[in-house]
Amino acid sequence: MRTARNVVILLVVIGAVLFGVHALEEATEYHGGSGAAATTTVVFTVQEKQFSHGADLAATTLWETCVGTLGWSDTSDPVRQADGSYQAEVHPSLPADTRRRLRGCLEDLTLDRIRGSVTRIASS
Amino acid sequence: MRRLFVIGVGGLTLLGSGLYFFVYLYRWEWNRAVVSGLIFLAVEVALVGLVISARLTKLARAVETGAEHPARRSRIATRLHEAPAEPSAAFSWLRSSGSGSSAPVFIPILMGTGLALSGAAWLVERIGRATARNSSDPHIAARMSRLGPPPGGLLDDSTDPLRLLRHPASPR
Repeated sequence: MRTARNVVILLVVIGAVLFGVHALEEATEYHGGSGAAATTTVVFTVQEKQFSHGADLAATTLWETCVGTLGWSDTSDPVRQADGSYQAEVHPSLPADTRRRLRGCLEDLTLDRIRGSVTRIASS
Repeated sequence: MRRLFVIGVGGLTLLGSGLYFFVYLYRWEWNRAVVSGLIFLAVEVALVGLVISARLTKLARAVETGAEHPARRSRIATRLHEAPAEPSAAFSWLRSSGSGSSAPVFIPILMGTGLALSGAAWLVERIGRATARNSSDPHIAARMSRLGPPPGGLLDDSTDPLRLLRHPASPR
């Protein structure tokens, strides 16, 4: 009986591990491709610390770094808005996981001394 | 109590950093995931060290106190407690000696008498010092002035030329 119980426990553990690995794989895999709509618009703000080259260069550098890892046919430089945020566009639009990837790259500590924060990301 | 608190905090940190490791992975925020994983690793190593050190302490203490031979240890401990303490050797001359003579009783009497006599002698000396007068006593000077030779010397015969003939031994 003890062996049977051990076997059952082993199976449960293996099942849990496989499920976890599959879930992680699903969450972090990059499928690529393009979305259905024409454009994805991203509005983000930039925070810097001792980055002595101005917010415009910070926003541009961050945008170019992050968007360079995706597949697109056209992208625009970030344009400074009235409230200090930056707006940029990607053509064609991005699918859901790619949008998540872009947002993660912009909000992560991708570049030293620059921290971005995405306000809005929408496809249209 | 403190150990429980440390382990609690460590466990919470492990849980939080482990959870956020996967959250950041899902969000594609790699750098944050790496930092989270580092924190998880560091706390895990610290906790493992704590557990191992506690085990080692328990082991060392067991070796010291001798977990084996408990019966022998308790027997020896009983013997040591039963042995009487050594009697003190102070004032042994005061206690009645084995032969029964009661002469030692006089020792404190003699010591006390000696002390009393010393005290009396000291008192006498103090009184004497206080009442003895100065050496400049006029009577002493008068008496001592008679000790010298007569005014003209011992061979003076100016007043009486036959003085030495008549009174050879007298000083006058």
